Amino acid sequence: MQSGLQLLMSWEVLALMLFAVFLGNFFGAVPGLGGNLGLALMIPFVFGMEPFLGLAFLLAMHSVVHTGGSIPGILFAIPGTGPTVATIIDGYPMTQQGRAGEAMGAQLAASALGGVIGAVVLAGLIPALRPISMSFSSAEIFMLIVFGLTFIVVISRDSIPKGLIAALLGLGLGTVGLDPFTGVGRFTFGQLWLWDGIHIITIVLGIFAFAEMIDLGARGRGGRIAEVEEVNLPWSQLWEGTKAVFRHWWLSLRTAIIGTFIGIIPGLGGDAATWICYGHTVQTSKNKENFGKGDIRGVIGVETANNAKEGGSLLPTVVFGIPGSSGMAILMGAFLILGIVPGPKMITDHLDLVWGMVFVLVIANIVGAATLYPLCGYMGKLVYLRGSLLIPPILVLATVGAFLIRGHWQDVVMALVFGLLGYGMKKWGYPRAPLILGFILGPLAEGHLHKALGTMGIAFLTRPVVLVLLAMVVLSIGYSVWNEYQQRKKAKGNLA
Amino acid sequence: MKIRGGAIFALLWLFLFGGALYLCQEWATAARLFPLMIAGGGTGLAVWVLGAEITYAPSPHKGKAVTEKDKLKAILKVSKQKATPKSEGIMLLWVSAFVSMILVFGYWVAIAVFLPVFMLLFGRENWKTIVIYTMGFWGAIYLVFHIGLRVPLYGGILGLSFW
Repeated sequence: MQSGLQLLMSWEVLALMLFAVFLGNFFGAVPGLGGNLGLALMIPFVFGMEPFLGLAFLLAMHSVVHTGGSIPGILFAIPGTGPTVATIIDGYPMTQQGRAGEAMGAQLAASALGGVIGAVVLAGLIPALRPISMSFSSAEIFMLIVFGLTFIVVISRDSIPKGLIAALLGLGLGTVGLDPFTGVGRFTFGQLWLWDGIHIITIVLGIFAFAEMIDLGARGRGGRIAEVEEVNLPWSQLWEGTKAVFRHWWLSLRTAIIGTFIGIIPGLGGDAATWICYGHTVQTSKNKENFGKGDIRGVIGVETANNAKEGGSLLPTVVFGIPGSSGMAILMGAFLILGIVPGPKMITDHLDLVWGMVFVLVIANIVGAATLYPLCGYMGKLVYLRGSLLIPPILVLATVGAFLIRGHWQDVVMALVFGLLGYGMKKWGYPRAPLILGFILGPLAEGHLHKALGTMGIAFLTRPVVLVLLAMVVLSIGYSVWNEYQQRKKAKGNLA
Repeated sequence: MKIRGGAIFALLWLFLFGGALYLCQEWATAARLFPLMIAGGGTGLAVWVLGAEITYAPSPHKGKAVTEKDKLKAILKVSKQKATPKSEGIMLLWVSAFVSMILVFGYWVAIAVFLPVFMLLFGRENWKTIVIYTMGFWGAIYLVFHIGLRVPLYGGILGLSFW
């Protein structure tokens, strides 16, 4: 732990983290940008950096995205990032009642507290997970990946088949290049530059940066993200909101812990954590009548979970090399660029780095919220940014990023192709996160499947942990199909 | 019968997964095992989605069940401006033109030309904003990548680079 703290104790790291926190809040506060895009755009800037320096920069930026992302949601009912939508249910009515400062104070304090609790829970679980991670063979890791993939599909919101298609495309894209086991060139079409496969950053830049900018531009000439009005944020209200988080300390603690554990389950995280915690907050509150009309507990319950889940999703990413969310999948790609290989060896050979990450989460969450207290009013104005000013720099950074990853001009063209695909996916309701997770998990799944089959044959499926995970896979798919059937039945009943 | 965009997009999936299924037949068993599983599953799902898109018909009921999502949508404020096929086409042309400029003239020329032209023709920004924004952004890219990180950006087919 001490060595992890020592890694942080340099002005270079702290200054870079401060800059990263500002960037993270910015990417979160501008609707349509978000953490995934922010990470993908910033990865070219970490080339040549010391591994921990680059890691601290990207992790600090990613961990506060939702802190900034809730600002436009509370002030203008415009979600900055996906998981912050749940904050709007009670946050925006508070603004309409002239209590915007109170909502913002609660949001910032809850985000910071949730982030810190998430990091503390992560720190507490590391020693416990060490023996578990070491006892996992390829068979268990393969099944854990399959379990993670099913969750990705389960949370594919509107359409499970569309989520599955996106995940399968990601898995398929992961097979492009020379097969590590046979040396066969798969889907390379005789192109040398495809022998190493497609880079995750090229895909992310395409399906997020290009697609979002096409979407923004297609909405019209210099169109703004939304039409909004001015909102006042008095200091006294900010303080009242902050105090409310600690007055409802038991709720804050509960939702932060629930959020962390949801984050641990690969693929679940994100929206699920915030909605589950909002539901928990409503269910466990005595007087429920004010929820949806501006109840501060609705803001606290969602915001603590929102930042806490980042600590949780870091756990499977670092310990098993299985990203807990699409953001963590991109972060994992960046780790590899920096020469850090996530997996069980991280907690045996690089424990200092793992502790360093825990401290980065703690500091970034506190600094991220603290710096927003005086700035949240100004950050809210980012929704005024016109498309004509936002599109060119994002496109430039996206193309520069796509090129610098490997120095191939073909990657720039690939990013454009993925941009068109991403725009189509957005337009016709295909979730894009499963594609990213599938891409990262695909080669891992294939590698572990080959190893498991090579050492144990098909009998690897009879190992106790594998059987438990297999049962969980079946249960999660069965539950989601049953749930969708029930919802359709209910909707038909409402219509009749 | 009007062909829906969603159906055409589903056809793309069918083409992608069907093509993958065909391509992986010629590889060794160990190399094709995983891609075959993916492509097989993907082809089946693509057929399902395509069928759903083709047979999709709006509900005959006049009323509509109000779900939790609908309630939330009523609160959320998003841009009233909607994309049209024409605006989508225009935007795709802008993005493609920028990438083409990079490939031919390289980054330095493409950035210097694309930013002002886009802001002028697409955004109708004033000259002062265009000049300051373009010079500031071009300068920032130069400072960070050329001076700071010392990484060469692509000079295009014409090789218009600082190196």
